[in-house]
Amino acid sequence: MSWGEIVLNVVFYAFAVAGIAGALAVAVSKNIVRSAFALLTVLFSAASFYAFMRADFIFAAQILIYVGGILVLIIFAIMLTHRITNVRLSNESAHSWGAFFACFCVAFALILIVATYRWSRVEKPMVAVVASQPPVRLALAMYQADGTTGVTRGGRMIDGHGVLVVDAPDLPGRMRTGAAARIRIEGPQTILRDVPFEPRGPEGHRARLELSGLPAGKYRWSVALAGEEPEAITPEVPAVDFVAERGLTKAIGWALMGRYLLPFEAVSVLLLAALIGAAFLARKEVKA
Amino acid sequence: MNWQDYLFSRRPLETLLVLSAVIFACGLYTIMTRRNAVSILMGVELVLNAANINFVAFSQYVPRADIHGTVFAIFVIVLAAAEAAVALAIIIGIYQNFGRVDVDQAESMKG
Repeated sequence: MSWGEIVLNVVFYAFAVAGIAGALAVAVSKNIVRSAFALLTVLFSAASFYAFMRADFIFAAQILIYVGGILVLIIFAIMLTHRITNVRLSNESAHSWGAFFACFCVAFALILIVATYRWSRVEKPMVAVVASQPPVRLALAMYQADGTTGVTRGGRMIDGHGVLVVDAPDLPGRMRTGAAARIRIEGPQTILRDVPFEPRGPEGHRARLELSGLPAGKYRWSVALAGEEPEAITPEVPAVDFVAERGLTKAIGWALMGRYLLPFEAVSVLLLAALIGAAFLARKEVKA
Repeated sequence: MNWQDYLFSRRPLETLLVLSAVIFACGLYTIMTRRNAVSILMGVELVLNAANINFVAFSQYVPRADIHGTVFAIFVIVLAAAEAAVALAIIIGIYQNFGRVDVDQAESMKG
């Protein structure tokens, strides 16, 4: 574990604890103003989760709209609907064990589903065989730059950086010293590089290649063993799409102006309707 | 499972899904038990936020998923803003008519 990973986890779990504590406070706090400020904590930690997911645009939208808009609106409503001079900002709740039990069951069921479904199978490396003498089994995988998400079977590389990993669990004895994986990547830019295998203890050998600064586009890749005659190549891996720019903003802009244009326009009409409706509902009654 | 499986950096999707499940349950409890209409609205915001975290997490961490989940999250944020504006206008209307914002007390439609 590197220092970067340690810091990432510590900061993430600090935000996670703050978020859960805030959500609990919203649910049980006796003072409604406290509830509102606990909601602020939850919204901020949700924004931090978006930042951890590298969804930069959603991060900014969350802070601008939720924290800057909705929360201020809620606090306004609290101040308008409670007599502040009365200092009775109580927040009555009909606490019932039935509701608590129901919510506990919902949370338990959701966590059980998350824990038991085999999410990891979408990240499994692809096993390919190099038809050398004797045949060598290789596990091919490509991960996002932070090493978390596999995109081996075709996917999106968020910011044009990736890590390519070739695992050889049972390299034949004559190849164990000085063996290298010959990685070829074809797409807008072609790369042919020999990467030496490094021993990983009982798990065999691993060759690791970091890719960065590739021009955007679809890339296919395959692996051979360097120095083998005749050269034997693994089957090609489905293309991986490198998105060159960092972040999601440009991709979201293209999506909103392309495939999602109709919903986007519908939302603008809805916002207009909400604006008029809110003004109509909140206006002062004029007695005729 | 060893302890490293619980790290965010090793299993980001599962960690975020568990977090959003907890926030969702808290929001549900708020909606079920509160009498104050503004508090109920806060519970709705919690539920929407939990759903949004799920949308973005699946969009970012499932390899084949494209940008669709993220775009959907933007629509959810916009709809939440519109919903909050209208709901608060209604709450203020209730307050003007009944003098309080207790959902159990607001019984008649014509005020």
